[in-house]
Amino acid sequence: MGKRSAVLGLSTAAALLLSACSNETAPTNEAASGEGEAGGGGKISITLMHRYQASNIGKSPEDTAVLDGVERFKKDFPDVEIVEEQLQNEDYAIKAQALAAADDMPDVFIVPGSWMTNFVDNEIVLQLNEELDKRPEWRDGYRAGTLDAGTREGKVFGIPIAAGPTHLIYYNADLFADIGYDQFPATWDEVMDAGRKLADKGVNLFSYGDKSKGYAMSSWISALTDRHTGPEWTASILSGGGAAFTDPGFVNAISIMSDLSKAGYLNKDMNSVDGDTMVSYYFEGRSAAFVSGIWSAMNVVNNAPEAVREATKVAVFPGVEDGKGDPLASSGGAGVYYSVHAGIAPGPKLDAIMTLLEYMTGSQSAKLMAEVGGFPAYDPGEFDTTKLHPVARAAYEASAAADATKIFDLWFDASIVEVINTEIQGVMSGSKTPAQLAEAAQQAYETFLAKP
Amino acid sequence: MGKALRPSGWLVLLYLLPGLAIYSFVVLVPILSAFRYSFFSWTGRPKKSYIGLDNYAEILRDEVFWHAFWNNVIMTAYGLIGQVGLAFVFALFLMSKAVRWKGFHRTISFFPSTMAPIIIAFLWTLIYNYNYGLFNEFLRIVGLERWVQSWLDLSGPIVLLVSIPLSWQNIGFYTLLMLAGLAAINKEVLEVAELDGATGFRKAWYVMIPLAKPTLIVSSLLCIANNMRGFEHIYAMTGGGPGNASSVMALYAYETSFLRFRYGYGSALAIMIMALTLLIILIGTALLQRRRGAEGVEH
Amino acid sequence: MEQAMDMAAAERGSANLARLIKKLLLNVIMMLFSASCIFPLIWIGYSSLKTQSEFSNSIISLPQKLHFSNYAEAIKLTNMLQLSWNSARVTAVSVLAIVLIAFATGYLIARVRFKGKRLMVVYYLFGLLVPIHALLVPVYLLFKESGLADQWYTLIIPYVAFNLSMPILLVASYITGIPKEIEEAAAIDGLGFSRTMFTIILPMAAPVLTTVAILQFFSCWNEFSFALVLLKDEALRTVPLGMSYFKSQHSTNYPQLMAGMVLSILPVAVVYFAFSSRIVAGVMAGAVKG
Repeated sequence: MGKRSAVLGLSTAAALLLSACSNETAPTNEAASGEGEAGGGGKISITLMHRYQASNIGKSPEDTAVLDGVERFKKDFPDVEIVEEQLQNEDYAIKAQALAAADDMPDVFIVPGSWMTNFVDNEIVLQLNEELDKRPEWRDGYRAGTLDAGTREGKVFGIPIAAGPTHLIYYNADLFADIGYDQFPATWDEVMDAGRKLADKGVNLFSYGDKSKGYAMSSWISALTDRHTGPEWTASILSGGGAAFTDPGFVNAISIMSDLSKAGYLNKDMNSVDGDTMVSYYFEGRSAAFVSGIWSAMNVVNNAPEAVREATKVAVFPGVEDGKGDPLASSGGAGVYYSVHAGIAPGPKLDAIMTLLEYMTGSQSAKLMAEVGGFPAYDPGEFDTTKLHPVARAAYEASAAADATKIFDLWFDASIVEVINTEIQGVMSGSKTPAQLAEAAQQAYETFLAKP
Repeated sequence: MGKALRPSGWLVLLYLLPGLAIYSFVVLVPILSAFRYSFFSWTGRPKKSYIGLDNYAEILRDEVFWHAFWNNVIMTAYGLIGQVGLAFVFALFLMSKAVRWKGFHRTISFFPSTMAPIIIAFLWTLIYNYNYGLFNEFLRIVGLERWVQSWLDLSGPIVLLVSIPLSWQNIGFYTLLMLAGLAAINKEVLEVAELDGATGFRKAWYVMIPLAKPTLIVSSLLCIANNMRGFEHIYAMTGGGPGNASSVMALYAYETSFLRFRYGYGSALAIMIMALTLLIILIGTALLQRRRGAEGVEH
Repeated sequence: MEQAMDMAAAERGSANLARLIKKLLLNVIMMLFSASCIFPLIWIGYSSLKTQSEFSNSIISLPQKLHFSNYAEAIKLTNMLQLSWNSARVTAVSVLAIVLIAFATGYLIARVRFKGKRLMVVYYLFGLLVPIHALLVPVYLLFKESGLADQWYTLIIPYVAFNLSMPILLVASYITGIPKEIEEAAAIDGLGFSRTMFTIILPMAAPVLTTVAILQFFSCWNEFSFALVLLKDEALRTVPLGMSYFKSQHSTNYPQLMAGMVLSILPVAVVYFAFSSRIVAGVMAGAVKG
């Protein structure tokens, strides 16, 4: 008696576990992750994981163009199966890192430039030179420099998607006209003057949102430092050629930011709001300008109230006195790349993958991206600009005109980036000085250099 | 004792097995592998190199980690006051004959516990927001305009500020645990106490606390464990900022693995978090036991 | 004499007044606390029906016109039905398994002497210390190597394992409170151990099991990290994953975000308010017997 009900009770509990463990026959796409096999003569299946989402089509030029490329590919190659996983940005980072650690990456995936060194060192990504050489007209279509952050020692490991400045100033020309500026101030003295006049009206000069700890580096510090030091300093830092973070150029760049914050020309909650809220403040007239990348252009076009949208113009930071950098330059270049799993061998599957990459990032996709307000890495050549809003066109033109300087977070070692990202919040909130930040960055840099 | 309470050994094992199996599989195995990885320098894929205790030596010197640890300790202290302590007070209130609508209060106060941490974090980010925040709006309405702040940008009280949502979410849960514990106290004990003239606060102090002690201890242990490994609220509310003013151990370990690609060091951090939590709990238990011992002598 | 009586009466009067004030104070404190718990949710509820400009003009005022378009947009962006079904399936099986395992284990801990019992209790309690987010990589590796990743039942395994510790504790302490005489009587009636356990004690433990079930329901329903890392197939995604589109919007339209939040809270809220009296009753009932 007792035994029977024991078995009964237990089996209910155990059945769950057992069924869970033995039910291996459930349909699964495990086969899709087969590495290097071309599908054994049958159907080719490509696994694709990226951070573009269908829900962003029409809102974000990149999502729109890339996902359009995937759809076109599916139509043109019905016998190639694409197993796609779309994830939101932060989620993508978590998942990709877990998969990378487990050596379980899909066939095609997104690699931010700042991960590239690690992925190359750990042989997670495939070198694409030979494959690209087979397709020269596609290979040569990418804008100068956009392949750089995905290239190590001449070997290409990543195909860029979008390029363009991470630093542009979007400003409300009406608000600046009210205080006597018919364009964005041309010197930093004028910038501070405008900040004062705007503050009198209860408006912040810039809205600023660095909750994600990265905004300051990509949109401000990279460009501001270049204004002071020119690209030689950056090159010297990268090659270990003697430049230091404690050099006056870098310290002065940080000081400009710290001065703006101290003077009260930025929103008070600058470290706790994200980029979206920063832009919202601009839309609501709480600030007269914000600094961001090209990606914000379409945000202005799509979401700003009409009066703000029509008044928005685009500029870049003014030059500095005795600055060595080009006052028109902006930090830029491709930020994220498509890479291919290192285990894929040449063959029909790799061919299909390369074609997919061309569909997602190549000429046709680039044209579409440009038409909906993005700045593709692939040069779209002539495209239909009639549908572009003036703000988007201005951003596009500024991007095309700007000499791209290096975006620090893509090039400096993660350990240094990390320190600067953290310390800059202290500087902006007034608890650290620019000199202290420089000191900490230099320390991290020296630790990095000392490593074998 | 009858035979009903003496099942055979294999039967006991049979009943315990499903739980032990699934628990060992998902909880123990990853911990063991993390323990193994913690002796390696590992930046991704199969490339690992054995470095002995170097990761642990680095942790001892890692100021950021110890800063995060200290934040955990402070959060735990706030948690013990704001979650367990307040819950005890509310539970006493809810037992008092004076309080009306007990069911309503119990239902409402537990509701925040049902929500996902990400929702709680989003909600409280909005509450603290400088321009859109309920908190500043409230200050303006009651005429305390000069107190209006961008709350999450204050690096001084940031740990307190991120602890408040945690308390807000968990008070209801601990209140329930307390109510359960207090309800177990025999009504007669309370009546006798009342006859003795022990009312209100004194009743709570001299009668309730000793009797509610087991519940208080269990709640405190849960609270310590939850605060020492806390992650989601802080991750979503401040990301550890400003700077790393509100960073906590789990967040630091997570960033080490997922942003800095240092899986070996990240694993060592995970092991360290468990060790430190265990240590704090052991110290806590030892203190409680010693006090109990001391009380025994007094009486 | 009279004077003394007057004084006594006055004293009683002031004592009554003090008691009244105290009573009022207690109620006011409780009301304030409950209000603080519920007001933010009411605020989200009605703000989700505003337009962004209405919201930024005054964050506290009621909407002038009800904008249900925020909901239409939020629903359009997520496949709520599929997400909810996946969540419901995973949650239901997990909760059932947790309840059964916690009951069996808790009962044995409470009633039966066996070797290694203390060790086992400590072993289960250890689960409360595990920093899950720091262990995602080893967990992923484990699931990948055992071939258990990316199945409909995948999430059930960690959900059960990581949610056993507290339920076992609760059940064990509840059953300790049930008089042993009940089992002894059952034994005299000739019932075996298992029979007693499942037909006599299980129903008696229903309140605490309900409580456990409901508590774990929320923790499974809301879980995010395992769902993100262990699933590839988009058709298996659960509600918290679907909600990440909040974060991917390129502009912050707060009312629309709030509409999304309301949608994700809603199923949980319905379950909660339907069962809230039982949760409380379960916890309390467990204790009264003790």
